[in-house]
Amino acid sequence: MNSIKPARIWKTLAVVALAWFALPSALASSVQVSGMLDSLEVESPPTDTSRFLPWSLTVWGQHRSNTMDHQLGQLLVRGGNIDRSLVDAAREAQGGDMGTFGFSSGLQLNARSRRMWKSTNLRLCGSIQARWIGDSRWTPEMYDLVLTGNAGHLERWDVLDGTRARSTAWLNAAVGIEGQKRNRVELGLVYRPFQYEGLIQTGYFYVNEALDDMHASMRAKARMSRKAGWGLALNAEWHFLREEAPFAFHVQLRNFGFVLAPNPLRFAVDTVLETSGLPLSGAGWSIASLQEEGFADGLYTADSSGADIQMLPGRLDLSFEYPLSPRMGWDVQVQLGEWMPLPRAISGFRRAFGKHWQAGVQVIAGGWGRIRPAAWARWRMPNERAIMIYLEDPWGWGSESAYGRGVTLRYESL
Amino acid sequence: MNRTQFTYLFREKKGSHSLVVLVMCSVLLCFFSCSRQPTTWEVDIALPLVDDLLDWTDVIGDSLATVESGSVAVIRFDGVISELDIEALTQLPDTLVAQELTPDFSGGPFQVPPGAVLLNTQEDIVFQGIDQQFKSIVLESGRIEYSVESSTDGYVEMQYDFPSVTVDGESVELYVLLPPSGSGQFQTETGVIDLSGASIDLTGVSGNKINRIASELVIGTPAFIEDTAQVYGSDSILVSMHFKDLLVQQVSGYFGQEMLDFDVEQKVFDSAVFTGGFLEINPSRAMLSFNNTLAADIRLDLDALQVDGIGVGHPQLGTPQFISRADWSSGEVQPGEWNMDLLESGPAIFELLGYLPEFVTMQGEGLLNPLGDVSGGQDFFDARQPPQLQLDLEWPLKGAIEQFGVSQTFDFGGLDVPQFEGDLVLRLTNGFPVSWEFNAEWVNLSSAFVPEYLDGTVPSFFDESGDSHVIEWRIPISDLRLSDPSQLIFSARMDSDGDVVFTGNERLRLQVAIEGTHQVTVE
Repeated sequence: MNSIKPARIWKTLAVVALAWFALPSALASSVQVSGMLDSLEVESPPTDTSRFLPWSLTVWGQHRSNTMDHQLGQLLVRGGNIDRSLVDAAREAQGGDMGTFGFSSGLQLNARSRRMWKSTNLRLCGSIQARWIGDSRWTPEMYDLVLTGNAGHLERWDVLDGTRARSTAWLNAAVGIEGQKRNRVELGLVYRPFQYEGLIQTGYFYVNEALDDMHASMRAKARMSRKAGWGLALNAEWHFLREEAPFAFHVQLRNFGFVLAPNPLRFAVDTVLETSGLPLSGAGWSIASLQEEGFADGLYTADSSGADIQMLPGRLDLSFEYPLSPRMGWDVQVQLGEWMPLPRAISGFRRAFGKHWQAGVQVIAGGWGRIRPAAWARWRMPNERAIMIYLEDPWGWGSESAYGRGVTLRYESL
Repeated sequence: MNRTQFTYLFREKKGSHSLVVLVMCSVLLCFFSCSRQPTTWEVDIALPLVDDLLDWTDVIGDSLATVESGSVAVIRFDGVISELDIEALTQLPDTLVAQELTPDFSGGPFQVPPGAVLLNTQEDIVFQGIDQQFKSIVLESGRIEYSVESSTDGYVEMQYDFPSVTVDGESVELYVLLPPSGSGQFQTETGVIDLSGASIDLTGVSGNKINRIASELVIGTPAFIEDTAQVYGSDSILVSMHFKDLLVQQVSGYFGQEMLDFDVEQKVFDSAVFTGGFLEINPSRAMLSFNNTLAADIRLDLDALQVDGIGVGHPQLGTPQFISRADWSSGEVQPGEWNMDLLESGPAIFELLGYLPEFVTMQGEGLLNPLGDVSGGQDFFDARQPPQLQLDLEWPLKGAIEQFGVSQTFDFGGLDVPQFEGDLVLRLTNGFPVSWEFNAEWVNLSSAFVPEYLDGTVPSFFDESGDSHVIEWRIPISDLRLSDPSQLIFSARMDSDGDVVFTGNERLRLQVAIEGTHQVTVE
């Protein structure tokens, strides 16, 4: 009988995870697992006796929206015909709130030296990160205009303020030092191949029922990178771990830095059109001038001079862990930044099963979506390695009506 | 290496193989995931497209006319209807001047040391083919195309000065240095001197001639090059100066007794727009005037005034009219003026204009300086201020209108609204105190669609029957029809029951809106 081998399981899971990570935005793979799963354990030197550095590899991908379910998001991204019922359901879910959709995917490889540096308590450490994140937000009226048109709400002022979309990807190769209790600080060199962003600062649209009065105004800006940018970023971790204290506290700062973007293409629009219809001909706005080549050129300005210094979408994680018993614990985490429209708050319960298994359930609020559950499991393998899987909204994996998916896989040498 | 170490190494090696497989799989999946089909969805749109007005300025069809609103509107026209273009004063003929220098001996070589002068001459360049006696001009544009050729075995320099031609206050001078030419070869240099804005004294070297430019030409060997030229009897140096495309901005002198054609044809009503009918026109003022901006007398002989070929009588027709010269002494023009009161015409010109004619024509001729050179050669002309024929008209908008018809064609380049099904909403609002009968025809140029016809009557805005002065139609359309270039041919007629007074605020409003379902496709 063929036995199930851990390496094969890991390989299979990793293939699935990387495949998920490699898919475009809506199918992107990851979320940081909340808390330090082993943090309440006593600090111990690395137990991996291989020649290689103790390391951990995390890959993740997640996409989430507070209004659009998985089916609608997939249609928008991968194509196909969007039925009006899907549009209406998302609109009902949105209500009067801003709609949001975001994704975050990437991988992170952490490593540290086995030996202390000279005669200190410090180790050399380093990390490599690859990240791709995206964020978009829209007003209910913008959603109506784009996905249902304006005919259904004549005589209504559509407010488009704050509608935006942006995406960026970057690599961060960092080196630093790690002290006791895995406190570490790293300085990284950042390579950002692209970033684009667009924002409607103010925008209004109105058509009356008699179809003889239209008002459209737009003040918006957009920026697109034309060349790759370089920058610096700081990663830091601080862990409060005391044998005498019945709790642990962790602070993680990632990608706090900037990028110098040379010659980005900047667009700006600031225009108002108020009309009962355009005249057939004449100077300025008219049916004839609209049909002339280059008419739209006068509606916006474009500039690509100089360079912009742009902040990286860094993230701050604050975690609190409290053991309920030797085998059970409760943890709370707050994540800020990384373009999330709201801080992401996580609260969870975890339990150890035997010497090798840990599992937990969580409730997540904020970020790009509504309140959703999460679950994770970690297997500490006999060969001083550990593998962990984390699923966000696990019941949504088999459902088209879930508002997103997320998975994180971590493999580490202990 | 002990067994334990070997086991770890083996384990790591397996791990690196796994990574390779993973990376390959993820790359493959990435590529597969990049293929996508278009995303489509349907939106319901309702937008105003066109809102245009037909008012009195469209009726009179001229941007120089203004409509003054009031209890009785007044149409005023006060502007230029024609300008006199006198080519004989504004264009100078192209003139070619050539100088060829050849030795007076045969054989050779003859040694010419550095600094020797071979030719030094001052002479006038005469413009041929000018009937007038010009003393000075300022050019709007023009140029000299020059060419210098030398077959001399030695350096040759040429200095060609035009002291009476100045551009930006500097006299025009040309210097050319040619290197030695080989046996039987020519050294050549060509170029262009721009004369735009040049002031030219045309009195020649003596200062009391006409139509000629003073020039000084020096040809020799350069003193600053230590080279002895070898000149043979067969050598030559050829200089040519070609004055081309000389357009005059200002000119003075004596212009002679130049005959001027005075045929004026003024389009009044475009028959494509005004299809027929009668519009009662009773102007309170109608003065035709001629402003002579030339500092030269003009005799005007007007033979006929016609409205679409129908002659109109007037006491001033057929009688020579003397118009005195303009006064430019202050630097500003004080034109000589001549007026013709059109209200004295018979039959009344405006009765004929009421039938919406296409053209009003005036035929005759003018003669410059009918009394000869009375100013002693002090005629002056500035092409930027030509003589003008002006009309000063004041027309109160009241009277009868009979079957007054207008027609306009609007071109649409096509509207790209893919997968559209809906209606084109046409709305007509009558703001005239008379009702309009109208016809509208929407024709697609590709003839793939049957034309749509609409007709009816739009009551006046104060119709006593209470009928709405707004009418609306809906024409079913699809994206194919919208994207196809089309024409909307709109024609309307109005008929007043007796005299009617217009305030000038009358409008006929045409609105077009679109309403329907459009399928958005994102590739």
